[in-house]
This record gives sequence, C-alpha cells and structure tokens, in this order.
Amino acid sequence: MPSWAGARRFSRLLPGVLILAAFPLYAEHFDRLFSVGGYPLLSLRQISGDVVVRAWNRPEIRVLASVKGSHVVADATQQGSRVEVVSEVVGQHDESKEVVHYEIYVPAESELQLHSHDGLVRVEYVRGDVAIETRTANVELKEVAGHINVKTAAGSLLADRCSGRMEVRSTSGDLKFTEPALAKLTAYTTDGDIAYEGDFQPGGMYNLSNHAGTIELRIPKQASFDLQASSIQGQVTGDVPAVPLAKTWQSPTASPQRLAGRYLTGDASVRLSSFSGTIRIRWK
Amino acid sequence: MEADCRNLRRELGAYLEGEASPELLAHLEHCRHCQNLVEELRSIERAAPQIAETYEPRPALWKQIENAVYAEGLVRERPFSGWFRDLVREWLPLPAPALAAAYLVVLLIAGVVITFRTATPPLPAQQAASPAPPVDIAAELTSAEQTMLAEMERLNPGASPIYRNNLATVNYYIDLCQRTLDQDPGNPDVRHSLDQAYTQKADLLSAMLDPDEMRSR
Repeated sequence: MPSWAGARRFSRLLPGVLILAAFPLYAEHFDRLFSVGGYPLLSLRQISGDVVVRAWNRPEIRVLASVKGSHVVADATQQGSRVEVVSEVVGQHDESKEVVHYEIYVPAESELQLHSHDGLVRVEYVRGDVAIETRTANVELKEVAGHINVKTAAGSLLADRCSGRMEVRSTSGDLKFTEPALAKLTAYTTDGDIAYEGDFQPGGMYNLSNHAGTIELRIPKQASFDLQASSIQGQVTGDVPAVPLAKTWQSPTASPQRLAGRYLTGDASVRLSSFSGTIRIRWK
Repeated sequence: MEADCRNLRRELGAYLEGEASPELLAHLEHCRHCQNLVEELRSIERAAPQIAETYEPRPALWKQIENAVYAEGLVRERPFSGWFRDLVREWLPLPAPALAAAYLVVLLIAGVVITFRTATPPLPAQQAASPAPPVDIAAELTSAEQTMLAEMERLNPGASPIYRNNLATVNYYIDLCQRTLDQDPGNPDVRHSLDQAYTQKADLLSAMLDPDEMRSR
C-alpha cells in the first residue's frame, strides 16, 4: 500500500518526469562492426561534427557515432567491402545544431571517400586512396600514405608525415605540410598561407601556389632540388644560396619577383608561385 | 597581329600534326610571337592527359548531366560522353586558362540545366524551333552563377554566405589576373595564376551543385 510520504516524493518528481517525457535527451550513440576483406571502401557523408578515421590491424570497420541533435539521423550500412556512413538532417532545420561525431576504425589498407560540411576531418595511419571534400571543415592527416585528394571551400589542411601523392585545393584555408615524404604534391589556396617544412623526395615534383598570402619553405641543408619561385606582384625572399639555373622567361613589361636555382644536385623539382603573396625559402 | 600571323592561326591544327606549308615555316622562323604561341600549345598538348585527369568530375555528375541533356532534348543520337570528348578535343588547342574556362562553362551551364530547368520542360513548339543563335558565353556564365547563388540563398541559407564570399574572392583574382594579362599577354606566370583561379571557381561551383548543398533546409 503506498504511503503518503512516497506519494509526496513522486509528486515532487512528476514535473521533471513530464518534462523529460516531452523533451527526450537527443544524444544517441551507436557502435557497429562490419567484417570486410581485401581493400575496403569507407564512404561517409557528414553534415556537421567531427570525423576521426584511424587505421587498426583488424579486417573490420568499426563505426562509433555520437548523435547530438533532435533532427539528425545517422546510419552505417555495408554492401560487400563497402561501408557507407550517412548523416542526414530530417526536415528543414539549422544544420549547425544537428551534430554527429564519428570515430571510425578501418583496416590500414583502405580507400576513404569522406564528405563533410562543417567540423573536423581527421585521418590517421591509413594507406590507400583518400578523397576528402569539405565546405568549411578543417582537415588533419597524420601519416597517411597513398593518393590523397583534398578539396575544401574554406577549410584548412594540416598534413603531418604523409607520403605518396597529394592534391589539395582550398579557397581561403591555410595549408601546412610537416615532415612530408610525398613524391608528388600539388597544393593551391586562393588567399591562404602555405607552409612546407621538410625535405623533398628524389625525383619528386612539388607545385605550391596561391594568389595572396605567404608560401614558406623550411628545408634541411641536405635538400636537393631545382627551384622556380615567382610572385607576380609580391616578394620572393630566401636566405638559402643556390646555383643559378639557365635564364628563364622574363616578362619585358612586368617585373615579377622570381628566384630560380639549383640546390645540391637538383634531385627534386619545386615550383612556387603566387600572384601578390610573399614567398620565403629558409633553412630549417 | 600581322596578316601572316592570322594565317598561321588558321592552320595551327594541321601544323601541330606535322603538316606545315613552306610559307608558314618561313613565317615561323622570324616571328617570335608565333614561336611562343606554338611552344605554349605544344606544352599544353604534352600536359593534356594530365589536365584531362585533373578536370574529370565525378562519374555521377556526368550521369546527371547526361540524363538532363537527354531530357532537355539537346542530344538525340550521339552519346553525351562522345559529345563532350569531341568538345574537349575541339578546345584542347586553347591556352590553359581558356581550357579551364571552357570546362567551367560546360560544367556551369550543364549544372544550371540540371538544377533549375528540369522542372519546366520546353513546349513542343520550342523543341521544333530552328537551331539557337550563338550564345554570349561570358554573359551566360555570370547569369548562371547569379542564378545558382540566388537559388542556394533560398534553399540553403546557412551555406550560401560561405560560397558567396569564396566565389567573390576567386572572382576578384580572376579579374585581377585578366587585367594583368591584358597588359602583358605573354606572361606565363599570370596565365598560370588565371588558370588556377578558374579551376578553383569550377571546384566551388561543382561543390554548390552537390545535391546535399542544393537541398531545401
């Protein structure tokens, strides 16, 4: 038989219970594991939130999702060796409040196709083809090897110890490469900065360009490369002596700032170009 | 431009394939302007496979364009991929910025056709009309870009300012490069810079055409 004290306690809790019933906590988690073989493909379409993809040594893809929003649904499905992860806002709602955070583990040898609007996209230790497209989401790559392609409207890129081939394009983001081992790098940002810290691969080709902002090379003294650097309306500065190359094309009417030279035996080819930005070449 | 230069330009296609008249060879020996042009075209020819790879949009986009073009009745018998390949082959001798601009125009106009015109099929009388008059590409491009921005403002107001601002940045540098190039037409650095800006613009417009971005919020 219920006591009066119990009834009074329940009546005090009742408003809270009703509020919770009316406004459930829209924080939802899921954890899914998919067995994959060979060279799996992870395809992800994200709206807002962070995406972290790490390699592990199991033939499985594990997707951990944390959904924070009342009108966003997240799902992960498998079709053969392809795992597809999708976040979608249901109805017409402010995307920025409909957040999903992902932590995903993939076999080291995997292909990634990641598409995210806002937040952060971070990939670690993956070896394979990696394609990332974002609107404003920043991209961080750590020890990624393979053919890497990043396109972002306004996001920035930080690539740490990456190898293989990389193409990066951004309109207003900054691009930074630390200790790269890339055989080919093409990086462009319209009015962001580009920083490259490290050596070049023998036979490698490096093409860094922007329209405004700074392009800075910080290279070790043993770096061996041919350099062509020019800024049409900006400056090219360097405290690194080089053997001048053969005379290159010179505009008769404009006076572009340019620096061309060979460092040691010229094993790699480096081209830096800017419209009105500053180009700096320094010893590391 | 001298009359001899104009004649050379008309025969450039044959010349680049190794068929040169004695007059052209003689002209090329003393005309530095045409020598530079030929050298530039040869460098583009050498880089063409790489350019084609770089500019290849997602297969799904081509499929959408193909469907839209068929739905519009713009192409009847020949497959779209062949039509586009012919177009690229036709335009390949153009300088790199022009190639980027050409790609941009095709992408943009096709995108606008897909996104905004499929809901209003043409009337039978329009379908039977004679071939359309020549199009002012620059005006079409500006108009299509403005239409896309207005449509994105309506459908996706959260993303619209980001694309508007970034397109404004790229357009600013396209304009700056173009003006610099007008003053110094032979400057390869400026051409490269203009090409980069056009390519970035194409990327931005392609991103705007993503179904996720053009979905009503």
